[in-house]
Amino acid sequence: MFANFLINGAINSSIYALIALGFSLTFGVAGIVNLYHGAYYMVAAYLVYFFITSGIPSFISVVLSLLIVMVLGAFLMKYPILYLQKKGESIYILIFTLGSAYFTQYLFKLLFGASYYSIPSFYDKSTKILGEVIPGSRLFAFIVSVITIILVLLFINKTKFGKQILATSQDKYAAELVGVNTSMIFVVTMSLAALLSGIAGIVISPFLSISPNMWLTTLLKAFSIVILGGLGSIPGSIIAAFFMGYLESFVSLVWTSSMTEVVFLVIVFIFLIFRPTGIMGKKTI
Amino acid sequence: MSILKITDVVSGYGKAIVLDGLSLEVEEGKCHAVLGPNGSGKSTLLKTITGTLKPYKGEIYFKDSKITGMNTFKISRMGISLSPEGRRLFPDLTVKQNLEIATMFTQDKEKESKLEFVFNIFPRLKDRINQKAGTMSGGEQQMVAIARAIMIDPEILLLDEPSMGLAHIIKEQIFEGINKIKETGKTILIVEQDATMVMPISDSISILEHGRIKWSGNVSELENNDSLRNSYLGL
Repeated sequence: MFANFLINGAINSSIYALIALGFSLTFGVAGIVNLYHGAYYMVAAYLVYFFITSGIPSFISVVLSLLIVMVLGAFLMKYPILYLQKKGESIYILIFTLGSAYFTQYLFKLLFGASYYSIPSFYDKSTKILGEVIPGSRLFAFIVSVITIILVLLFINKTKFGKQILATSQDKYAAELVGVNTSMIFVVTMSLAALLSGIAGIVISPFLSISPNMWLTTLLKAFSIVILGGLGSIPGSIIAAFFMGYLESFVSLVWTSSMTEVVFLVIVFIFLIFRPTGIMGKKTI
Repeated sequence: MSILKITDVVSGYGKAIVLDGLSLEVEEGKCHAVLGPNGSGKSTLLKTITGTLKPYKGEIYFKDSKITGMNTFKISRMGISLSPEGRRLFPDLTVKQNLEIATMFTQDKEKESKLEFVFNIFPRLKDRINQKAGTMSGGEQQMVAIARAIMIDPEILLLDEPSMGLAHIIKEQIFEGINKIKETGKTILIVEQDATMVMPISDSISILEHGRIKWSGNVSELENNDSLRNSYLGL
């Protein structure tokens, strides 16, 4: 039972970290609370389902789906969000991103109906770890999530482009003074966030259902994690994702999985009262 | 030959006009100072040159190119570099990272020689190379801000009140550094309130009041004009 807790906790945590990383990155760099973030997860899951069931090979379906969500993310940032940001009212962005997510939900409901779907596993072979049999699809989701997170962290910290992201996150004006095109950095960051959320949506699709309302729970969890970790803090988000992932496994183990969201929100509520700056206490990309 | 030419610029914040028909020229290889009291439009002038503020009227030319209303990052890449008011460092990055970030758009091989150059100007920074910029004293932060602006290897360096809020001994170190930069032939446009600091390193001076240039000339003219010094500089 303990092994099950450990392994499932790690799998849940890694997927949450992947989603929260993108959410946190968008806030940390562009200062935007993107309520569309969960929708990328849903769009990618539906697209990969559509392409695979249309007979397109899995790998190409995944690549196409991810490219489309990246372009969607770039488009949303480049046009409506940057336009609204110039207007200077962050509430407009909140309303726009939330409204767009609901629009996407109803669009997919119209196109695919309210049924639940899933896709074939990308990796079928079950593996025994600590005496527990882990389905291949879950192990695959864990490995892909961890590798993606490591690659993103390396990209941000080691590449020239990543340094521009870092500079923009710390001071947009100063970054422009040293020649950084911050509008372009915002667009690339949103595209990267969409990619991360999209990867999460695709890797969970073989073992969780694809449905028109899947974005909302995901968004709530990502939001809870970044509040817990400290808005805009990437290390904080990763720590908080693991805390929440293990908490979810623990609640499922000792109580019921249907109560995990309630426990999430209670934890967030407690943090908002006693430590509103989150675990890390400040924005640290 | 003038490297920067500002003609009849009107600029400000929303409906508040701060620069009201300002014209100014900066000669290549010279240090030009703009002196003026608080609220006269000194920082607004630099923000307008660097594209942070788009002028309502007038033109700005850098060499032969019109840069009026261009984006800040493009102006920076053209060779106009600003050490801004309030320093605006990347606080969680080290001194070295702050400096290296300014060389992102230049050749990697030039980085080391540029670092050596700025350490020669402000030797104290070499000892603090791995310190986070946000944890440094005001004077050291000002040195990093100027050094970062130099790392871009600009054709013209703009300095926004480098002495602001600093103790006299630190001001002297900062201006000693600026003088070393000037001696390399770099064009400098400096806006300041502290005339005693800026006059010894300047070739020419303009006096700014209510968003307009009230007087322009060389330093010796100003030194010999008691009424001007009394009226505008309180010296």
